[in-house]
Amino acid sequence: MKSYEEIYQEVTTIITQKISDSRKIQPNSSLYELTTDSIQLFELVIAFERHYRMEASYDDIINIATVADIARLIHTKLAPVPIKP
Amino acid sequence: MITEPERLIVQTSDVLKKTLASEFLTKTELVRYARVPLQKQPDWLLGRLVAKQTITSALADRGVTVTLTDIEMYSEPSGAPAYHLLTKPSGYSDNAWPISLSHCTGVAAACLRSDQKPVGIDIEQIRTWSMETLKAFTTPREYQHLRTLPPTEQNHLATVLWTIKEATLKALKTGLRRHPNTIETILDQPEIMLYRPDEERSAVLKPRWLLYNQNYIITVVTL
Repeated sequence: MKSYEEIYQEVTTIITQKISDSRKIQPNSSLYELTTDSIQLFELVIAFERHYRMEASYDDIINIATVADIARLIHTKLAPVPIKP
Repeated sequence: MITEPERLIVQTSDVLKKTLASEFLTKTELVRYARVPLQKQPDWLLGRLVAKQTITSALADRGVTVTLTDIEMYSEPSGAPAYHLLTKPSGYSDNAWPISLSHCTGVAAACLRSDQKPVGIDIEQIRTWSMETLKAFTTPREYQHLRTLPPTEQNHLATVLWTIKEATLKALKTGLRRHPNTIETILDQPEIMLYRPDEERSAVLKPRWLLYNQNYIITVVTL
């Protein structure tokens, strides 16, 4: 299973592919801050949706506040469900 | 006597060359302005100016004089723009008229409805769209139609469709929290739009759009 840090790295890579300046990305950056307009924001959300098809929908991602929150959501969804004895 | 319910004002960033932020922002707004990401500040500023001009202009037509700093813009929890009238003209209250604003690379537009109907406005520059993005924000029927068009027409119509959808989502006060592909435009009658027929709020609407400065589309939707 991927660690939170690995997923956070993946998330920042996806953002970097969509926006030019990766230096701006901080854990508490919002998608709104990182994108120039609504179309770029939409493109970023669908890039996440495509990459994490099984873990997160458009509705999940668009309502998330920060980059760290996205990584946290994916990490939680990927966590194995404990099997009851 | 003013009968038209709608007021639309468009401004370009040239107006900011001769207008200082402190001339039209209140102290609270100046604090908010400082928190806006640097690259978004010019358009944010232009958006507030044009929204205030739209309100003062509608009030002036009713014989009420307020200055730009008598109006304080803020965002509702939904993200929709709203305003306080700091000096309370008799008979006019905060947010008495629904207002919507939009800005895009140096152009901003605001629209106000004096008949209280929810209104949404969007402005976008005509751009080259990737097929991936087109497919994502359109319905299958819209996408099929777009694919048949030559590139120039495709980019133009795709920009119109995006502005129709975003303006509608603003009027609904959801913004992009609701997926744009939940709204469909009937393309053989492009002035008519409806929500997906399986939805409770299914409705037929009449968006209106205009081409501005040859490469911007401005669309207004009223619910």
